[in-house]
Amino acid sequence: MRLDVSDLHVRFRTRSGAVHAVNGASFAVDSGEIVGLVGESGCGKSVTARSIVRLEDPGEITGGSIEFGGTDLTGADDRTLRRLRGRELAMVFQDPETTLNPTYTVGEQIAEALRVRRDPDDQPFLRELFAGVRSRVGSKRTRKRVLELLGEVGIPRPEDRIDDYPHQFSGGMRQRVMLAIALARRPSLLIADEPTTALDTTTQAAILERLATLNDEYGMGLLLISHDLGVVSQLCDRIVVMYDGVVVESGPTRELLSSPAHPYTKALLGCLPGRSEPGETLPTVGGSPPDGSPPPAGCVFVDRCPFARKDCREDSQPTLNLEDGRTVRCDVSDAREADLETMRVATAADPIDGPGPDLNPGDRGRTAAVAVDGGVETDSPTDSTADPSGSAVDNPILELEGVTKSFRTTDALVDRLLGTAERLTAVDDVSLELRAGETLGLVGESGCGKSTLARVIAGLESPTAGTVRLDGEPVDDVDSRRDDQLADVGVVFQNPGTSLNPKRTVGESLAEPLLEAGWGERRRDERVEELLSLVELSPEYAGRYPRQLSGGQLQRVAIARALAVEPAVLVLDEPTAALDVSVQATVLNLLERLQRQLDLAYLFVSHDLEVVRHVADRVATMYLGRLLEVGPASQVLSEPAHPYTAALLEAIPDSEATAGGAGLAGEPPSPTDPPSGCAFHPRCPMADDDCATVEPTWETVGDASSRCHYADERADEHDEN
Amino acid sequence: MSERHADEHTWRSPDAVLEWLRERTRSQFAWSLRTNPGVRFGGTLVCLLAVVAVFGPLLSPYDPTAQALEARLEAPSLAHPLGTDALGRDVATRIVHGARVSLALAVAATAVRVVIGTTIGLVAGYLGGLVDAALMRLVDIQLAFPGLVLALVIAGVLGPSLRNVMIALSVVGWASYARVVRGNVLEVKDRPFVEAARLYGTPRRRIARRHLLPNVINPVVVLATMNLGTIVLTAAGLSFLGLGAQPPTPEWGTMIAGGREYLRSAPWLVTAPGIAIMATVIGFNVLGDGLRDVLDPDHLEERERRRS
Repeated sequence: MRLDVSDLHVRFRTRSGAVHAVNGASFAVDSGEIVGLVGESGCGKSVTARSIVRLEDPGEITGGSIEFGGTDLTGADDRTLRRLRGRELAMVFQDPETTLNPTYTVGEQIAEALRVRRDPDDQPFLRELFAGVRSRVGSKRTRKRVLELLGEVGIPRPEDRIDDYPHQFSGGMRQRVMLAIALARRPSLLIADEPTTALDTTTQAAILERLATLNDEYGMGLLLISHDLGVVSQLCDRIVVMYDGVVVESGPTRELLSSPAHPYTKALLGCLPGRSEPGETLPTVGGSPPDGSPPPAGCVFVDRCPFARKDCREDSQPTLNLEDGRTVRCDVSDAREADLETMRVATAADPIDGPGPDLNPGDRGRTAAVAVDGGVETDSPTDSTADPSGSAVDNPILELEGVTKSFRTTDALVDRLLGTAERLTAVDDVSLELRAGETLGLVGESGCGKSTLARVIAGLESPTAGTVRLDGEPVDDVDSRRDDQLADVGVVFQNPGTSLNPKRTVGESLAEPLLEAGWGERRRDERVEELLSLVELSPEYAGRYPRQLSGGQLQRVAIARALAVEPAVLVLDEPTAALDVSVQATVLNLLERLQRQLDLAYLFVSHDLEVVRHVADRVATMYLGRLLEVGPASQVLSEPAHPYTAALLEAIPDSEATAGGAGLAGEPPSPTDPPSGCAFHPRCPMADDDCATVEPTWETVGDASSRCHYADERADEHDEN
Repeated sequence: MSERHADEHTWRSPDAVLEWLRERTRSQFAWSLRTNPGVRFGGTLVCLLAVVAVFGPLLSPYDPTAQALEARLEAPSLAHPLGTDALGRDVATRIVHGARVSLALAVAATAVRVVIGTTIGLVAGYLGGLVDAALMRLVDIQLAFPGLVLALVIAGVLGPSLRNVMIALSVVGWASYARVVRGNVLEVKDRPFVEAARLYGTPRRRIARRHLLPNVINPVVVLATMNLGTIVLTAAGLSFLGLGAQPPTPEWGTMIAGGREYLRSAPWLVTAPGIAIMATVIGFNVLGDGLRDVLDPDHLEERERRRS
């Protein structure tokens, strides 16, 4: 059945006025087609999706129509909606943590969907009353069907898992269960709202592949919503780009990606770190994202568009039909024809999105100037932090030697006394070093121990075995570090929303480390201003509270705080994972500039290989707490000598619209009971008997080293190719 | 409470204070405070009570304790708006003086409860381990005793007096504060901003004061407001039983106790203090309810969703 959204308007009434989330979006999904809906957060894509299944509450649809198989959903009654939701329209939400009911087994929840499909109108009250008492997977036929569905979405050994509760599943597996619930209804259209955003790259690849197969087999239409152009391009037939509640461009994937017409699409594509050379400044989208105020008379993108003309502001832009089925909402031919290179130049001239929307243009210019001057002036960290014997450049600032960290999995007193408690080894015998001015990328799937390692280095955990050396001196956790050792390491956390105290202003938060370091009030105030300009924020941000800032601005503040006492090492734990692609680009640029200016060493923890490829000089791959491969980024990420690194690379959704890689089979084994021999052997495509028994030693391959029996052979293969 | 944790820099000059106040009253928080019906109604009632307690005694022409036997049990009139009692004392004057006694007692007892409870909850939640276990068992013990009975025993052992009622009411009832604070501390203490504070070497005591306390204090404020009403009620109850304020101290509970013999002939003797107690309790409870809506946005959002 065909879905046809035309001129949809949705708004939310809030105490501070109406928020206009969708302002006339129009697009269509043909039956059996895969359409991607992309845009930054806050552009209205999720609200659009929810409106289609009529879950827009507490928002309200104020105009337009949503036609699905000939029915206008905006005016449909409950009965019609129930039938459609039960049989034709299904939705998968973003967060698999919260979308499954924790009190029912997964089999039960799938069976419920099956029953709703059988008769969507028959929901007798009495039966619902006893719903929790009686199992729905009792009947053989239902059980068989549920097992089939679980198998279909790729859950291994479904008969063992059908009676498990959601908490016994990992995130990826839960998302598969959600998919099974959606598929139980054999929908003709599946709406997937950021289905893989909360998941690892490897799991994401597997889920996307599953979606593609299902589309193939059942001719199920798919509306895939994502902020990640890479994900969308891999799967979709067509892409719809949304901005401020309006569709700005749509068209077939290949054409839209190879020659985007709307400046916004160009800007979004340019932001992807994979599209730029490593180390190069990323193009950014200037200005700040829309804030839900009533749509302007002219083009929605005008404030951030480098090609904006005077009349763009007043005249609404017509939707133009280009060749090969593309439509674009931009009347400026220069803008449409500009290629990505020109965009790069155009956006580079634009001040980066530091100052908020409420600053006047004069302020904006001044901030930029201060940022440059102030930055250069403060560029003298040598006096307090750097080692006096800093002339020996070769000495690593940070050294890890056989660092191991394990946790008890239970706190039970009996286990503790008997010493029978299982131990989870999160970090296992890791040795690394980090030098000034260098960026070390630490990659791996979630649960591999990379964050724990970062915490050990920061001093939030003390290692169970091995030593961490700062400037050649062994250190333990923060409580035992000297002041200068504390000052040496700055940490930036993943989620900027929680890493700043909500009850303190930005200025107070920035002054905290200085206060602890014993700075006087006057010097503190000066330094706070200096730090703000260093991260390209205007001084007035000092008086604001974290809730008044956007995610990107918060992360800048968090970076500024980490830099407050002039550290030599910055530990960055997934610093851009919680941010939009466009904001990510500005933060990465900022980090790049700061590193050059202040000669910082970065430990960059990330699961996103594209980002790591962009920022890192060296890369270390981690699996089940162990390092599997370490070497220069250029070598490891192009000619990986370890099959695990190769698998991670294959899982990257490719924005060049190639077929998805084979991906990595299965899930990481439990770290409480790691496999014998090579930890990776159960999932390794090239493992043999040796791998299961003998733990591989470090093999040197070129400038890198790899822990694989077959590292040399792989290297030879690369040479032949 | 954000006022209390205001930036110390802003206290430099009167202008700065004014500016800061203006900013405050314009903020979202102040706005929701002003527009919340619970805060408005309860707040008005409580403010009215406070004004009466502070200024009422200054305006009244009568002495609350001096006997005037020639004017016994007079019905409400212009000279005595709420009549007089068995000893000829003006009931209105005694109510007004009683408000002072009741409110002062409630505020003092609540303050003691809040300080003890919050400190214990903060320490237990933040330090964890053995300290936590020990302190929380103490809390369990306290909660296992019925509050009023324990207060009765304490007041009985120490002898009947207003001061002893205050002591009795202070040592019971802090346990719920400890529980609430500890629960919130457990949730907040692992947030990255607390870890960030550890990273730049903040001593534990300062982490507790600057990073934990401001983030866990909201429910304490709500609880304390509601508690003020309960304490007024309990104190009146103890006085009614003869364990609290002793005659001739003007206290609402004692007044009811003294007036119950004349329930038929002079109903104003029990009605007036009864209504005073009721108004106080309702005022504090409604204010507390409203404060919860304002201070706990999640809770409010939920309610709005249900309403729409």
